[in-house]
Amino acid sequence: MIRRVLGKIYRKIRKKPQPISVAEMRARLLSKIPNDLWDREKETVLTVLSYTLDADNNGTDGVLLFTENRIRTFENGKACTDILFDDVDEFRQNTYIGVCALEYKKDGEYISICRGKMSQAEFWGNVCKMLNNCKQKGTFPKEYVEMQHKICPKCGQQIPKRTGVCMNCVDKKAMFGELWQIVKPFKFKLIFASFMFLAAVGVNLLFPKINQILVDGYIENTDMKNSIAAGQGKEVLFMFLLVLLSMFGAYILQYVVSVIRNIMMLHIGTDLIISLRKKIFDKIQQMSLSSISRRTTGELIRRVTSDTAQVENFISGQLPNLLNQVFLLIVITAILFSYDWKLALVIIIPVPIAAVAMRRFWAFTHKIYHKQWEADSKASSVLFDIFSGIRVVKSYGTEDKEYRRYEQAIHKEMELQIKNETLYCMIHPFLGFILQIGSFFLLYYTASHMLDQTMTYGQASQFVSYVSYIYGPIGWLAGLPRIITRTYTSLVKLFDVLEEKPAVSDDEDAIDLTINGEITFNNVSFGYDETGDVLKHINLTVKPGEMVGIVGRSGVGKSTLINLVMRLYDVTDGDIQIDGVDIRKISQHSLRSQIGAVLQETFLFSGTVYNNIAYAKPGCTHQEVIEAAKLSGAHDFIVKLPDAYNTKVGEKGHTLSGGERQRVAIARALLRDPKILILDEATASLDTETEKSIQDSLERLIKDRTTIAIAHRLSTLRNATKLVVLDKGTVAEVGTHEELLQKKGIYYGLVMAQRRMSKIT
Amino acid sequence: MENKKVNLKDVVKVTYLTPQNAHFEEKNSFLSFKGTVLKPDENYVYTETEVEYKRVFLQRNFPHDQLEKYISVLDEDNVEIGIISDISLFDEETANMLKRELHRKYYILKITQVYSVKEKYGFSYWKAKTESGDVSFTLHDTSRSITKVGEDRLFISDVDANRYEIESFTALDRKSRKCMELYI
Repeated sequence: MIRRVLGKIYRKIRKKPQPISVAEMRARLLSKIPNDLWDREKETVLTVLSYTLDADNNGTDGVLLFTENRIRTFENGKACTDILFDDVDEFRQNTYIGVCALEYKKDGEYISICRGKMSQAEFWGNVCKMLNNCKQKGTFPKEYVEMQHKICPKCGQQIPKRTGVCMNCVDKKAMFGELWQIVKPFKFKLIFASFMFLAAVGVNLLFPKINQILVDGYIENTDMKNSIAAGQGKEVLFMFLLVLLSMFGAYILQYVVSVIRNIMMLHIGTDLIISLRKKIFDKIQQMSLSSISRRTTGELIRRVTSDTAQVENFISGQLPNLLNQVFLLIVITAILFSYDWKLALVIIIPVPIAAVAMRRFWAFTHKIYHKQWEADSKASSVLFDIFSGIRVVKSYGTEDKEYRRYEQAIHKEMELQIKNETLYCMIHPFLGFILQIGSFFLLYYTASHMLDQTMTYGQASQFVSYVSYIYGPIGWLAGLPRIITRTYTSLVKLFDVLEEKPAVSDDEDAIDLTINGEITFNNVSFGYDETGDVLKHINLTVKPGEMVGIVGRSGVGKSTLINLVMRLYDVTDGDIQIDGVDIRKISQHSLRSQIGAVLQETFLFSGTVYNNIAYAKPGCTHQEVIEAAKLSGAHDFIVKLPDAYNTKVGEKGHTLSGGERQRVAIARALLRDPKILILDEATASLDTETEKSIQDSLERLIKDRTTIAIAHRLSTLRNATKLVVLDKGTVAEVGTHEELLQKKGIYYGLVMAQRRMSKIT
Repeated sequence: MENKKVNLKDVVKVTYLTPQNAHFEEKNSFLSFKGTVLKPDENYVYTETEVEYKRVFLQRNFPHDQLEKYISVLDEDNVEIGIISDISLFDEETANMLKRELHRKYYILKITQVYSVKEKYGFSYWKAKTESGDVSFTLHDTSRSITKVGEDRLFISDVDANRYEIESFTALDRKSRKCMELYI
């Protein structure tokens, strides 16, 4: 406790590290180079940078110096590399495992200049680009002002690249502030519900008082017996009935208040959970493909279902109840103090002790419940994994293995749950015991006062009732840590998704463009992460109505290229233009609604064949669906199904073959009548005959429509206006089928290999 | 006709690099290679061919548990030239050369002590001691960023793709273990 307080004071008074300016950094780095190693007067320093690892990955205090015509490195005060800028052919940033390197090419060989941790990969990549640009232009680098790290201006800590904000400076208050934004639309309902809770407390407080009047006025009252004997029985009976009636009235009031309160809570709860789920679902849909694929499907489902339910339960159930209990606690405490402050003190004294114990317990339970959450999440993921791959499991006969895998996962969860609940069961009653120590004093107090007749039976009963009321809220508050911990854990997980910056977002001035179909790649480079670019310096123009075939070996970046056109990812460098407009300036909805894509993985949603085709164009007619299916070659097999277009497919539906699914997917893409058609191995899983018939249909369709097609089976691309051969992430060859064959390059090799294959088969 | 069973290894053509068919040299902190490997012709018939590469890269096939065995030798375009089944097959000088190249390729700091782990919004902020000094790094989806290998060996990958290793979780001091127990 003391350590924590001292820590807080220290953090308040300590001098916060200030971000270092470029000039300061420069001066600091230059001071590391001994004067005798370079002539400060003769050589003008353009840029100076630091690095941390030498060419053999050993730690070093390195300085990279750019003077007017040379690049020099100094390590631990000693001169190392000295290169003439004109001697270098090319600079590159090479990424290894956990380390990146700045290298230069001379006489066909790459030589290392310096190395750094992966945190600096992006920075060194930019340095390389700058140096290569300078080489191309024939100029020497001017002052390079980008800082090597992004520093938080508030705390001076390095900002992690993926977050974009300093998470160190974001606090819980901000998170609850965000939560308030979600709760805000329900504030009046919540206030009303809280008022109902308070009304219920008020009604509850009436019962001990009525009880006291009943006992003291009519049961234990000797004067009353005398009054009845004196013939005033009617008046006494009337008063007695009045008391009974007030008790009955209080019960009715309690019932009405409870009903209204519960109905209110039901409404708030359902509204809130729907709002929360919509929000998180919408956010997940907006997230980039890379963000989504980083998480398992089971985990995402859990976020949408159980985490939202936990937060809803807290806001609509526990939060008003908390208000209720705190109000009850305050009122009862006030009543007890008004009766006898000494006794009230005795009863209240154990409360701070229990509160401290609860706080310690809270800190501890947070960890163990988080652990349980992780185990639960893992078990769900295992289950989802097994069910998704059930075909593989069954075909390999590994049911027993998978049974054991799931058993292991749920056993781990069960063990943690038993451990946590046992702990809770042990500590919770103990906290209750500490709290209720005061009740022993209460017994002594009421008994002694009743014996010396300073307290009536009714007063004693009322007093005991009030004291029991005070233990109720305190006992409930003792259980609060568990509720808050669970909610906080879920809340953190929810905000982890909600706060994530979308990797692809609409520009503020994004426009809706009616696409004509010209696609231009201007020096496009793209990498999924810092480990290197998948596509490098792609320059390509696809004219409206052209069909471009993309060919190349597996993993060369063909699908990546079309993902960039659909803007599922944003380019790392350069730009892609459609009709002369950068696609980042076109709204995503406008762009994608005019692109029809048939991808390698065909996915059909649960529903009918009709629904799956009509998915691409809400509100389309049956005729349009039939025509699209006819065009894709799906119609012929659909009419043979007993329920034809109303046949259920997808999960729990009719099992379609790979080729049939593919044809439904093609029909879906065609229905949209897209301006740009993307075919990623669209006919790969079809037999040659069906492929031929679809190809003929497509041929008619792709007329006047820009088409980008990827196919390993090169005959599929025979109608392409031009073929683009990708190799090592760059455009290696461009031309028609005949031109490329004559060239006898990569394409020629691929065609020959396929011819040999077809001879064999 | 005799129905002889064909094994997988009869069909697969892998060039295993040994002192007999491979010669490595080190220059400018890079590795070059000269040797005889199996190469397919256009009809996929494999023949032994003399090759020479100015620069080659090493890649562990099992980076978690086979640190000096099954090392692929790749060219500049990441095309495999052959596999070193065991570095110890080579003479001491070559073995050390290969180990140095692996050291250049894999920069994985060994964590010896964890000072603190603070979690906020799904990111966790670590301060730790490594064999090369103190480090601080950030993990996203902490549990998923930590890979457990075997009983208690851990590999950590931070948001920037830096790598860290804890050789034995149980061998860490109590405070370090307590900092991490939530994620293990």
